[in-house]
Amino acid sequence: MSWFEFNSVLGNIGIFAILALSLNVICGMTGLLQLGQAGFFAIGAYAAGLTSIYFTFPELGVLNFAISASAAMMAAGIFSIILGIPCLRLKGDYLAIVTLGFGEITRLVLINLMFPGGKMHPGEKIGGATGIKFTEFPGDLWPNSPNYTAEFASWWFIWIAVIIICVFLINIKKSSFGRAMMCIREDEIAAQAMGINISKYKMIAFLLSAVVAGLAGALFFHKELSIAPGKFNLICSIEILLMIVLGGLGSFSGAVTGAVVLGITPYILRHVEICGYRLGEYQQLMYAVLLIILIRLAPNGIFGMNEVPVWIGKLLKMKNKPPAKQNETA
Amino acid sequence: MDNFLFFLTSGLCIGAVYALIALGYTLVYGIIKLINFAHGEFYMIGAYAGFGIYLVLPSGTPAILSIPLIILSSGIAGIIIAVLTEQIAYKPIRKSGRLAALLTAIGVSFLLQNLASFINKANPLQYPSDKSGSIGEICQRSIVIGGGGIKIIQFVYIPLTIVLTLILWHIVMKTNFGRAMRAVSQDPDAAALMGIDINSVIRKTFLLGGLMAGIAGALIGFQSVIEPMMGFMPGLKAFIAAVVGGIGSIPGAVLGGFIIGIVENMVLFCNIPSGYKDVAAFVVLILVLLIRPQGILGSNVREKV
Amino acid sequence: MFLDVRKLCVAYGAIDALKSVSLHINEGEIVALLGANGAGKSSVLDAISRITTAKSGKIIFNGTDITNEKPENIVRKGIAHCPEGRKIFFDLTVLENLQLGAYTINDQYAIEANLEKIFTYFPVLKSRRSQRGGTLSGGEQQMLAVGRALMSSPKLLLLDEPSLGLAPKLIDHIFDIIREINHKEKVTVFLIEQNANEALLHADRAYVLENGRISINSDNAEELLKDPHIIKAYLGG
Repeated sequence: MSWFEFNSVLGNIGIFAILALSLNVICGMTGLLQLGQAGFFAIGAYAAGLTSIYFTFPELGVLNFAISASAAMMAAGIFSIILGIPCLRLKGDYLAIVTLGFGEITRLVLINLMFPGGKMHPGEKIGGATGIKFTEFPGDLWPNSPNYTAEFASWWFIWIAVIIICVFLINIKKSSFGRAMMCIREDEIAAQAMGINISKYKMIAFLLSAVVAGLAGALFFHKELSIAPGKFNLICSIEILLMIVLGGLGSFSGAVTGAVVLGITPYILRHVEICGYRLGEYQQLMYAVLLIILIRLAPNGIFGMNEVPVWIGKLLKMKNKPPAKQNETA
Repeated sequence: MDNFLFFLTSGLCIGAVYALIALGYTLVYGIIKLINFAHGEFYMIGAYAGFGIYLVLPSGTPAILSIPLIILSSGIAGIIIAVLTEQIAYKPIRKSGRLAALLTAIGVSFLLQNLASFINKANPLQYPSDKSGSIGEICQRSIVIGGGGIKIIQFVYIPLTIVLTLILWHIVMKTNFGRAMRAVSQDPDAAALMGIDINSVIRKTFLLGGLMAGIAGALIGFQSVIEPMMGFMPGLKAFIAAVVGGIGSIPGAVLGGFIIGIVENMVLFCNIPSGYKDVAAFVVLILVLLIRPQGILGSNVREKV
Repeated sequence: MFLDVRKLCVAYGAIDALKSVSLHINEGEIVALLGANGAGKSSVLDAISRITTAKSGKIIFNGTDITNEKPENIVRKGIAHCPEGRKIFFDLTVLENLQLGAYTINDQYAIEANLEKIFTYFPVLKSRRSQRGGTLSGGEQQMLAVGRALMSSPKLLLLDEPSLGLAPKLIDHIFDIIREINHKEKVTVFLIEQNANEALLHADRAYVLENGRISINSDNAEELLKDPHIIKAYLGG
């Protein structure tokens, strides 16, 4: 694998780590099943993309990212409120379907919707199945900054974001917000009886989750510079879910770990051969089997609700404990 | 008015197929509260099995014989895959909670799609229509209704769906087994106290669902291509249909199927770009869940504290 | 011995609900199991009808070891369990509930005959036969639950708190019917009650469950009524 490829892969894993973190807020912490996270990912990416295409000021340099990222997060946030309000009173399976529907609607609409090309693609409409691009624009668009590129999201940029977001979310988990959300996950009715305003906290969870996903979308655009709706599909949403299931529902560091493991695996598989069968070709098949087996063996993910350091601590403690005594029978 | 009739007929025909698939969803959800994401794949496998039988049949077989045979074998394939899936994948995690069940179902769905991809790597399959009198040719014949061509084979869908629904309705409402199904779906512990073998009832429910899905697969296989991903969208739409009609309700599933079929075609009738056709189902879903979350014919289930 | 329970131990997780329970029931008797709330009485019945699995011990019914029998076979062996909270099917009609009680019986005539019998014992069920189970009053639901259990022509009837939530007049009525069924249909009855007074008035023998074990085993339920310990503990004396 070349250095360039390695960069790109690392960056992708980082973006998915952020997506996993975002999904963990709503699924892992608050216990609401969300199958349309790809939708917010897409909205963030498109918002950032369109903002960049229409409003780039090369003099500002990196600040342009701040502009497009803000647009991405705001757009995702607004849509999360639109989606969230009807979803507040839906339970379990119904919520899953509606969010799935939302993800699919977003994808289908983006396949069909065309946007004006702006100054970057003058006289054209952009969008549709081929998506939008921040490349191949007229050579004299920014005469003063001929070397300007919007490719801000290098791998370390992304991973700094991962770390900041992870720490931020772990702190939320420890705060009263986080505790309220976890109460809702455990038992909604009991939470209500304790005076927790479920609607408010569910909405916050939705919002937070979407905004972080939107940020991931912005990073994605500024990494690829060319995005198309095909990528933001149900499989994408399921992959993100798989990451947090793997890493442990409720654990943010677990979410990142899950993203890393699931991100690296295809590349390892590509170079592994068993009996003349290149495993890489069977990747999706193996994922499916893995998912089924994983759910059987570890329904709560590897780390459960614990953050990685806590889990390691528990593991070490267990190794040092003397064997438990047998229960005395009467 | 002309155009409208065409789209209405199209809608009813595809609605009948959605209804068949939706019946399977609603039966399974009713009994074990599982959204069987893999149900669309049962439909896909039914289609493949039907085509497989077609390949095996002697080439001179008259369509009047081969078509029912294909439908029958698709149904059987649907039964087999449904029961296998239930025994291997769903039964072990029955007590593991909703998320586990959902993820397992999704896993099975992907698994089946990928398996089909391996077996059928190249082009999608289609019943060859070169020979006159062959299945493919018969299924291409159409008549003009309301300004558009409706394939004649589609006129089989509605009566078939209605007959199957009536049979299912009779089973569920009038037979001992049907009573047992309803008992298990309401209170499995109490049902066990009646001497009902819960595992057997669940297995047989999957059997019925798989049968419906398989038959639907054969039907669609007659009029369009057979490929590994063919179950994804119809499966999703059929599930939406079941929810719209009221999940757990047999008439609801059928009603939902027809509604989705008609609404989809109305979108085309209104000259909305056809790319948005698939969005229609989801929009209907969200509207229904907002206005009447239990579905049109569904019953209110109050959560007891 | 018709029903022989030996050293039954039932645990839920790490907690032993029943530590070692031994009791027996003879054919044709009405036997009561008394005890405070949470003493574990229901667990005894649940273990017999196999809703739960015993941790250790044996349950022998009519000569067969049913300790690890499959739950769906218990009815066929002749045991019907009317569980705590009745558990009738709310969305099914009274008639359908009763029909489900006879799920294991294949003989249509026998089912019809049983149905007529139940309607004789509980006329209100006949008048409400097409109503949904959930629309019945508490007392009527209890009658439906008992009637449903009887539909399988059981030899042993397990009743879990038949008087729960019922008005005193209805309690009398229910127990009268239980006695009548025991006498006329030759159905052995094993019942749990918190309402010790009623239970002891109608039962032949009684056991008292305390701390997961049988603390009192009386061959004469009526005498137990006069026992000062019982009066203090369970009869509010």
